[in-house]
Amino acid sequence: MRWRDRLAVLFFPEGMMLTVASLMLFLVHLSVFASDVHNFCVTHHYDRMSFHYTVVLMFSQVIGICWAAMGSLYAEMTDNKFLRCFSLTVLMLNGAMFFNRLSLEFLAIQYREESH
Amino acid sequence: LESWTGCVYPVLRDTEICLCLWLCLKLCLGRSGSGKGEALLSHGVQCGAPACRYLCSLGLGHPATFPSAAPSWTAALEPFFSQTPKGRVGGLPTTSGGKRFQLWALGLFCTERHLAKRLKNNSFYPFIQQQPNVFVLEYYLDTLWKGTLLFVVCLLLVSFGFVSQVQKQETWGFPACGVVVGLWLMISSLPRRRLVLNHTRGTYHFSVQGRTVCQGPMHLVYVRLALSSDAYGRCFFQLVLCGHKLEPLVLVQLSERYEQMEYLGRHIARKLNINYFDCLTKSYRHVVRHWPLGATFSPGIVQRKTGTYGQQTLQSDLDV
Repeated sequence: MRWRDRLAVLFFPEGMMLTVASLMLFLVHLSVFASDVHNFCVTHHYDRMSFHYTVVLMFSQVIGICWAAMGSLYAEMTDNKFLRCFSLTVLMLNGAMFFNRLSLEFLAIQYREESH
Repeated sequence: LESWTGCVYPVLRDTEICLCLWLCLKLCLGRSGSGKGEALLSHGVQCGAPACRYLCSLGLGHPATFPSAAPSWTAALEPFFSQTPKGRVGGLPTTSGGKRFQLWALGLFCTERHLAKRLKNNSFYPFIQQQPNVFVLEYYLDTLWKGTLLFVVCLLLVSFGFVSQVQKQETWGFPACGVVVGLWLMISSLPRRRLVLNHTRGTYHFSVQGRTVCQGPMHLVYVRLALSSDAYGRCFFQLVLCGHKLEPLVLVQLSERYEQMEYLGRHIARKLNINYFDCLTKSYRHVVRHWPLGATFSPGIVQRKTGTYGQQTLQSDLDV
């Protein structure tokens, strides 16, 4: 099926959709991580960090890894080398972002808002 | 099987295959101790008494050795499968707007009896017979209603702010994500799918909103009985209409009655004149009507007789 037709009716292969969705999630997490690191290390504005969104962020990181893994599974079943490399790269990026986020949360754990 | 059908509905690993083969044989043979009302079907498996009565009451005919008395629950099924097929022969399905959503009910809560009822109304269910050898199916994917439901529910949650904050954590991100996913599912399922089986040309044609996805020879479309088992070894069967680069359509959801599912699957495949495959990869219960190109030239493959619809062609099912 030609790509023009695929775009017109949104009939993409399932594995490709999952990989692209997890790539979008990775970009969102990357921007949030960059802003957190900037506020933590450079400007020291700890109140502008993403502490209020930690639950949603961790959940969406895990979902991103799951989607990337499923997309990589679909890609492995095709014989397209580019697709396989692409989906594996996205999976590794999501995994790395998860561990980055985990480390940052531990480093910044003393800077969370106190509530008694 | 996998090599020439391309995209094959999932099969199990060897150990599970052996276990389920044993359990399926046990299911089929397990009622053999009940004495009366048994007869050997042509494929050499003893059929249990309740299954015999069910098959007899369907009216599509088996050897007269079967008992004629049927219990009350099968009496309701006797009018099904009348001798003259009632498939609709008409023009383009412009008046069948409601037919496009018929597969949604099948996916939700369909047992074999629902499928049997629908087959009574339309012999070529879920297809519509446009010309004597051309069958057309137009449908929407079931992710349409699932995506719409998710979208509406999450939109309500976000707009009314029910779960926007829990213990000082902002959790409106969850329904917001649900809105995006629901919207995507809804929009990607809106284009109408169309599957055409053209026996005069010997090809099938799958298109989405008029744009061709794939077109191929008839041996790549099939009806398959798929097998799942739970941890205790109970086998559940699904009847699936599938093919190369096609979206699998589940005709009957999980059911434990193997003989009835197999009968329905063979019936549908016979009406549509496509292949039928059993749940196991290596099985003598496959019914192959179309072979891959060039396969018929190898020794040991005998072409089956093209049976007419009214004829009892049980014996010819073994011409492999």
